[in-house]
Amino acid sequence: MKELQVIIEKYKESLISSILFLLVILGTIYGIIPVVKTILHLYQEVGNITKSNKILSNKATLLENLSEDAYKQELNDLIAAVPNDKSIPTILNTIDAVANESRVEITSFSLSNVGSIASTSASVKSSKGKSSGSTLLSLMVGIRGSYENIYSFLAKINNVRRFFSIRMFNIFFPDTNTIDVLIGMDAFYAPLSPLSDTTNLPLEQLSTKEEDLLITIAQMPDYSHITQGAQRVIPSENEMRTNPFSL
Amino acid sequence: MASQQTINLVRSKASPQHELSEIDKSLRKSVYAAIIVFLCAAVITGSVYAVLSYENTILTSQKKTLLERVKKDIQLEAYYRSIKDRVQIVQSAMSNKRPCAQVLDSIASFVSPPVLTSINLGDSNTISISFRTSSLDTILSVVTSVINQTDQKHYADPTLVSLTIDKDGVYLSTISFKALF
Repeated sequence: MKELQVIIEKYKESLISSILFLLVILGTIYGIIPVVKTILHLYQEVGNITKSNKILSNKATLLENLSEDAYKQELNDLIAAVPNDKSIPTILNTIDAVANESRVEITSFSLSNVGSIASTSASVKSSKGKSSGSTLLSLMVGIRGSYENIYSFLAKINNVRRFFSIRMFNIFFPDTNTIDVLIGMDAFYAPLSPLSDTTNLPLEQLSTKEEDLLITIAQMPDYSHITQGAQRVIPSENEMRTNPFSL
Repeated sequence: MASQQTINLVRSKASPQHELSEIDKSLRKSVYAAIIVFLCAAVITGSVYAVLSYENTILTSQKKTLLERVKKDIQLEAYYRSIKDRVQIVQSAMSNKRPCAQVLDSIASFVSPPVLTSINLGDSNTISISFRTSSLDTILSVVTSVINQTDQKHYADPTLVSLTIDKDGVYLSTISFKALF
């Protein structure tokens, strides 16, 4: 026991220094290093939250300056131009209304590949549809009328809110004033993309070009919801036809 | 007898006690330095942690407020995003439209019925026009007009598809070209 006391006495200072050194090392390992790790994590988190807050702040400011009713209307206009689905009634209404306005008679009407039982997401887009981001529904319309009226139909069908693209037409000019024309058209449609959680995603402002497009669409006449006969020009007795597609 | 006087040039060996004391001294210095460094590091990391932690709390609270503001307009955001998506589709669909009335106007500028007998728009914007006339000059005039339109980049690839003459001396001709919409 006495010997131990002597040894402790002899190496006391070294022992204290060693213990202190050990405590510093342990303090570094169990204190400083974990705190540094936490700081790095916090730094990253603060950076992320700052970014996220900036996005949210911009988005909140943007949204607060928008009118829900106006944008609902604009979305409706866009959906009227390129509907979510084939929307055959809007095709019929529009063609009927344009034919009525142009004073041409619809002599035939056929839709091809309408009966897909798959959902719109399962349907395959044609090359033209792929390029436009939408799917196409092909239709053939036969119209009869004077050249001026047919010209008016072709001009108007390109400027209605339900979008059509004229694929082909054949105009034969007979000796009489009445011309029969067969027009191949494509009607556009595209399903709305599903909305995921977009809370933390940035919201870009509509560009001037996009705003201009919305104005153009809003100015286009929309016949897609006109019920049959609502705006119909009543034909005179000698213009009466038995064809159900006629005016 | 002369006494022998010697000088010891060899340094006397340090005692173990003295050596230990030197080691203790340097060890103590190292420990002090380590403690100072440790304390400085602890103060710095502690301060940084406190500042970041405070900032994090404030930012988290700000985020909560902003989220509430954004969620209040979630329906409007859905409309807006749908509009952004839809605009692209509508824009592409619009660019795929063929302004057929313009084509008819353009054709009418150089040939019209009764000379013009048919206009046919096919795939790839190919238009073929057929006309009948008893005058060769009329045919030349139509051909020249189509070439002029091609020079003006309105049409491309003009082709004389057929030119026949019937027994009455009437020329029947078909010209095709691509309309550059």
